[in-house]
Amino acid sequence: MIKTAINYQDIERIKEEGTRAFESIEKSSYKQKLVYKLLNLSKGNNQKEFFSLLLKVLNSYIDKNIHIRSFVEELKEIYPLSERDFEKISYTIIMAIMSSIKTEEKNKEV
Amino acid sequence: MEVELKTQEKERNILEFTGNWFFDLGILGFVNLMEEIYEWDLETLKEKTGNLTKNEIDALFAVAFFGKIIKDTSLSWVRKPENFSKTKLKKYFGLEIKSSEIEKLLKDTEKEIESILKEEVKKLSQSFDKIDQDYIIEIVSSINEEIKNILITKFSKYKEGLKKIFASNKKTILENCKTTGLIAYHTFFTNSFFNPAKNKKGREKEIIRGIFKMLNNYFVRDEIPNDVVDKGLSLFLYSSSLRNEYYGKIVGLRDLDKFYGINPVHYIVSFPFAFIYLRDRKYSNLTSNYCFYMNNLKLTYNINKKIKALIEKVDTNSADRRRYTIFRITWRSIIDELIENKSLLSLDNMYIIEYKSVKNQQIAGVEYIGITKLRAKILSDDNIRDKLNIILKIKKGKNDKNLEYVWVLEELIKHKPLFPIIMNHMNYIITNLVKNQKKKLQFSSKSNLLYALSTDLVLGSIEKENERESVFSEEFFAKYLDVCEEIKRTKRNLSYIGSLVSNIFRKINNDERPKLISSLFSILIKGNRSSFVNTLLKQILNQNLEEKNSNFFNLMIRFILNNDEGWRHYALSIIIGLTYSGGEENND
Repeated sequence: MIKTAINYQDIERIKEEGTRAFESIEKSSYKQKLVYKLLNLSKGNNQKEFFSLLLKVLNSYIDKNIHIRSFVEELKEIYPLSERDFEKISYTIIMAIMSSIKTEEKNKEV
Repeated sequence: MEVELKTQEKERNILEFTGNWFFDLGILGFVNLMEEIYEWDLETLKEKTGNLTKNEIDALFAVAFFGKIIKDTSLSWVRKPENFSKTKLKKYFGLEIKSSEIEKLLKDTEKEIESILKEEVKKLSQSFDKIDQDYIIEIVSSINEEIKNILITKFSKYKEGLKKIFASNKKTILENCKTTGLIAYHTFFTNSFFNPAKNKKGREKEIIRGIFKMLNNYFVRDEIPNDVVDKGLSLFLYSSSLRNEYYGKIVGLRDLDKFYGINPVHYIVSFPFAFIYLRDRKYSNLTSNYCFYMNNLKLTYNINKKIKALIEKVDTNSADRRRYTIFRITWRSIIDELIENKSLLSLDNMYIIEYKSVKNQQIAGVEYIGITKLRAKILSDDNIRDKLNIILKIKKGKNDKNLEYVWVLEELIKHKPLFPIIMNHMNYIITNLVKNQKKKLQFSSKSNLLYALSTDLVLGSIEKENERESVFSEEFFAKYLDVCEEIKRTKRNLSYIGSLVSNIFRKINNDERPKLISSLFSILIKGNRSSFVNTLLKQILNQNLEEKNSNFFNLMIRFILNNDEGWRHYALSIIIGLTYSGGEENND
């Protein structure tokens, strides 16, 4: 059953939590590949596969990081989404991951 | 006592509008008439009338009125191409109608008519102390006689080549000069001064005296009692004995004089001189007489002057003709006035008064051209107005060479959306960019385009909200107050997102950039937001990711993903940012 429509605050929170969660995953090339795959799934409006791939990745880190756990909880709350909300949330998550890639590299340099 | 009377007279002669459009156009006509004959502009005329007595103003007015009508009528007689019979001119003189000899004859005649009027007017100003009714009659008669003599002298040489085109094809120009009283005809005054049946040789002085009867005794015409204002004075007025379409029955001339404190004859009679004659069908559906009006004499005068100058300029330049409609000319003049004189126009109180012809009693068409308060507010902001005051090239149809020029302000005034125009303009820019014709392109300024986008976005959202909200709510008025600030704020956001994207792609190679722009633009045309974001993110992934991108992503989420109504505007600002990167930067 589709839940109530997503609002801007929800989207901002997901972006923030997503960035924080993925910042704890260090492998940047791995994240880049993930982004490519997610972009393709998002384009095809493939919600089920999008979240299953995302959760598969997050699952392997879930015990190590509190941010990842909280992000997964957040995703549970919103799933499943209407087609329109999926468009917003999927790209927000993708941009959250992309934002984490540069932060990680910058941290490395420091 | 004398001083008091003089002050009263001075107050009385102050030239300002009355608030009634009919009289106000008369006042404008009076100003135009005095300027044409005495070469005094509005300021000079105001100064002069402030220092003159009623008799002096009456005298100046009478000479100007008759002088103008005699000049216009005689020039129209000269300019009639049918004056000459093609065959007779060939037979007796071996000349074509368009030969240089005939053209020289016409030009010389016109010049001499103009200079006679100037000389007589000069004579009047040099002998101002002896002004009285008889002297004025003498001056007007002398203008008339001298012009008649010129026409007779010039055209007599070609007597055998002339055609009978006057007085129902019974007289040539020469014969007409010999039988007519004053060379004067005006459709507005056929029932009063210049009735052709009465305007015969020998009756000139009687006709000229008519204006004094009117000025001093408020006599209009024989058939009606004195002081009754009717069609005899102006075709726009009610008439009991002649059927017409009228704009209102006004009180007697005496009452008007008391009410407005001015002699109404000057203004009612000058009414037709307020209008600009449009002889070209391209400006309007029909040839007609046109006048811009708002309730301020100086602004109305300035704007009409600009309209007239622009029409003359357009008339002589055929390339301009395609671009200018009378709507565009009028608004161009209004905007120019705003810019040049920083005029505080009340933009929501303007009218166009137009009359087509007086032949069929179809005399007037008054059109209100005010714009909504919201748009007036935008136009009165110097910065926004200047940014929207641009002409954009857009493609007309599929052919790249078929271009059209769109004036952004015109579209705004006409309540048309600006977004399609900017899309269309960018289509033209991008097509040429892909063809690698950047050097040949004249880029419009980025900030102009972003202001247009922002204005469209803000207006669209206000108008949409207005449909939902009560018009008397506090929010409704607050939006009107803030509209310019909101446009500037939105423009900053549009500009910022564009500059961030241009920074992300600053290292993209010159072959790749047009391809990316073109592909994003095609997606935007289709209106596919998901595909737009997808393509852009994939391309960003190919670039070096860095700290600044996070800002861009946040703006993408806010203005594209979470903005169902305005995302296209922001998407277009991204495309504009990419197209203009390396060129003009944010400059305001």
